[in-house]
Amino acid sequence: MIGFLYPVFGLAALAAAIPIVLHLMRRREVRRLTFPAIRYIRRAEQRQAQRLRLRHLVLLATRVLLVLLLAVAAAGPLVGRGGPSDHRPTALAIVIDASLSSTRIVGERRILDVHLQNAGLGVDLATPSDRIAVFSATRAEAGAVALEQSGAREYLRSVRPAAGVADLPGAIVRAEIWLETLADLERELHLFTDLQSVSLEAGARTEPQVQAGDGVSVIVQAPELPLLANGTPGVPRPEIVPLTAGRQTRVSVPLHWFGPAAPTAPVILRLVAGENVVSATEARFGEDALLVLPPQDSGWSQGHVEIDHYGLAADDRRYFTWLVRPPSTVAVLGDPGRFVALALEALENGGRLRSGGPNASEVWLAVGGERIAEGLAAGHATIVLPPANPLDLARLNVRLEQARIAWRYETDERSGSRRVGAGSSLEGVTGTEVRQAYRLILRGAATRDTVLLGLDDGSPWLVRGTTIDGVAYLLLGSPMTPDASDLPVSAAMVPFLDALIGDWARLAAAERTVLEGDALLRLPDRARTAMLPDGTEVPVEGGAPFNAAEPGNYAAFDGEGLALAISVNAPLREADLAAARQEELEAVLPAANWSWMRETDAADWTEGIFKARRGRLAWRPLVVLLILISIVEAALAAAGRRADVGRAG
Amino acid sequence: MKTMDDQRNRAHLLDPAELDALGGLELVARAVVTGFIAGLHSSPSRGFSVEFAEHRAYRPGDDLRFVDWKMYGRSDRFFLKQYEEETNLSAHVCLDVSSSMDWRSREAGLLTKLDYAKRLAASLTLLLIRQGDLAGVTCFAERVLGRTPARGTLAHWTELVRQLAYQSPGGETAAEGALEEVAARGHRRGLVILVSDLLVKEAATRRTLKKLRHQGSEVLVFHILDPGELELPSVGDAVFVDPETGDEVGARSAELRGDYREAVMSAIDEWRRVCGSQRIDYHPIATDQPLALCLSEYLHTRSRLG
Repeated sequence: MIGFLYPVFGLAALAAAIPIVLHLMRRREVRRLTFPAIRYIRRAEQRQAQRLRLRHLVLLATRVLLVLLLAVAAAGPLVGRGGPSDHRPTALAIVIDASLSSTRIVGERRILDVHLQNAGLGVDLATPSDRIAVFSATRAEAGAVALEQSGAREYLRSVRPAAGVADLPGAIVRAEIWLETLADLERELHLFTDLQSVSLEAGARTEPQVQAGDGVSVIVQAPELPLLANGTPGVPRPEIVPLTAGRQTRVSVPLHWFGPAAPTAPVILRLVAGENVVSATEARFGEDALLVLPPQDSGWSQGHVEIDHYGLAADDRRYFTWLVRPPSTVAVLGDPGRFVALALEALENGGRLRSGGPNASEVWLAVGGERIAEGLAAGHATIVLPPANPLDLARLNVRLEQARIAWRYETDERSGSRRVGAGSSLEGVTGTEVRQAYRLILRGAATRDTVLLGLDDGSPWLVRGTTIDGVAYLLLGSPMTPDASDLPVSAAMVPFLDALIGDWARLAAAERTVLEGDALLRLPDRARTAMLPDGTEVPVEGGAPFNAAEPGNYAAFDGEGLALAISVNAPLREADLAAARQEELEAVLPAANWSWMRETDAADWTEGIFKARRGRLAWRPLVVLLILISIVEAALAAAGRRADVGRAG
Repeated sequence: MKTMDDQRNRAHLLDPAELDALGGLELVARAVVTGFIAGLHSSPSRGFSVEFAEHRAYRPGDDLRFVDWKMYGRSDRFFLKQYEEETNLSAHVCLDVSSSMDWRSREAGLLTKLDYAKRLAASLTLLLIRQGDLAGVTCFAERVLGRTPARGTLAHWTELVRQLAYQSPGGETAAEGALEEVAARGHRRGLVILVSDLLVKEAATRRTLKKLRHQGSEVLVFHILDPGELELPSVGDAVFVDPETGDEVGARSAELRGDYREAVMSAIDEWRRVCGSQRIDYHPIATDQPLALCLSEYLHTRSRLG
């Protein structure tokens, strides 16, 4: 049903009759005349039809020409195809994919070098009225970098292979946002990429900044590359972090392979500390290799592991930084027994530890849990040696409870001896016979504490935990007496105590000394200079962000010494050189006019860029032409009418 | 003030419509021919290429016009001039009396094309007979409606005029039939005069005219046109009806007038071209033109015949 709010206005519909009445009033009676010479009327009609047809054809041609010219005008015709530098003022956004994969050699040059050269050609061909911005596909923090021509050249010269995985969709969006701010200029986006699959893993954007018809031209230079199998070492992982000065450790290095089938022959893996190869081994891709890092002096050290060249050369090295601490200072609380005291003396004599008072010591050796709560609260790593007399366990457990440690000791009623199980890298400890061992019972919920060593019956024998403040404690399952185990009288006693005090008691959460991808470092306030991976030292501003884009080892120095050391590696997935399909990139390109250049030839590139913008807009001659043709059209139409009237007259 | 005698004396120059004031068809024709001949600066007989041959003695009953008065002055005897050949020309007027001829564009001051053509035919035949030629008339529409054989007496002309006067219009035009019949009957050198508005089957008519020429006949075509046919009348939107066929054509006269004029002129030019190629004398005549023009054209043609 249809209703009306003001039905009276429906009467206005009667006005529809007005044109009908006018039409009827104006309808004329047609006269009928006897006229013998109607054959001449017919011929006249034919002549008129022919003439009209001809005139209509001419008018049609004129009007089609007008429409064509209007379309040409709308398309922005350019007069004079000069060189590429002869173009209208253009906002030029350059997106550079400088990820490690772009260092792949094609012909005799790296893809990145060719891309930088061609990007430089685009900058060279720009005019002072152009605006230029360069966007790095691997540096998410880099927004629009609006540059003068010289600045753009300098920027391109400074581009090095970056550790980050390229994020092409993100870079394109950033470029589009910049281009959107310059809608009054012609706009062109030059995208250089090796089109690695991982560079598109961010996926298609849902909201393109540049809409279709915005007149943005996108020119993509992405060479067509065959699949390249690639082998690369993973990031080295030292077993002991931080390492104590004078102690060696093992370094685990996974070997990765990306490609159809990994080579079966072993690959030589070298460990380089500083500038020296300190160890080497053979391993196969897909396995973890173990290298020995020999004893080091205390302080920050940097190095890398490397393999021979497989696939991409740039990822044959993985850099790492590690900290070597000086020997621990130990305070013994209570009587540790003769054998422990002798071992401590031997270690001190060997320079592996220093004795000190409780307050000045990093590590407390608390016999029977002496002052454990106090020591942990004060930040002293504490090693608990259980009492030889089981009757003293009650006091120990009270102390543990006071220190908020979730473990307690209980006597073990089981008879017979047991042995220390596997798990220790210390020679002689594994298999040591244990005749007296307390049961270490975890109270309450599971904690993050770990069992470093256990007995062959599965019971824990050495437990390491940390307080909520991150202070480490170690709980040993047996007294350090010859009655309790063979350890005090064995050759493993000294190394065991060395590891107990020097390594396990000081184990801390590994500091982030190895970063993945482009890193924006915050330098210490006191930093004055920084050393780059190639060994050059550059002045820096303390506290300012520092861009560590290139893979390698970085160090910052203050006036007195090292202030920061860190290693930067490319993410492992960057080593996967699988190429993305062209359609995948098309999905992330703005809905604008875009073209592909799969060849990297410089001449082709200079011919292709600014192509749509070359020459000058032919507005004036076009407008003049339009006016002239309009006049011709009007004259033709008027002449036709005059001719009709003339004939009629 | 013009008197009736004055009008008779210059009847050949009068507007055809004014001629009707003189009387019937016969009277008009006589007035036209008499006026026309009187207006000539020299005797029309000289123009007939009649060559003097010898003299003979006068005998009672001979026409005094041929008495050689100079010989009489020298010899006091009457001699008549004897001409080498006195054979008459046989002329035949083919008169279109179809429905299209019975039309005039305005009532006042114009004759219908048929009335004009009848007066033209009467005048032409009288002029022919007075010059000693034979004259006949065939009236036709879609077929031959009446035929008067060629003879050279005034009594014959009177009969011919009477037949013309009573010939009523009607039917479509098929000039080729009448001309074929004339061609079939023609047994000596003659003159065929077609008087028609030429709203005919053009190709067939032209073929027949060509055939007449091939038979040795001289052909004279008077294309009778009403002034209203030369210009399309200003009647706005109108439906034009063909009086012969009843065909109708709707047209907007204001828009079509120029092309119509060009179409008529083009048709006239085409007739002139076709006739010229066959040495046929073609004369488009509007019905508001004096009949003397037609007679002059005739004399021009006749002079070529000798």
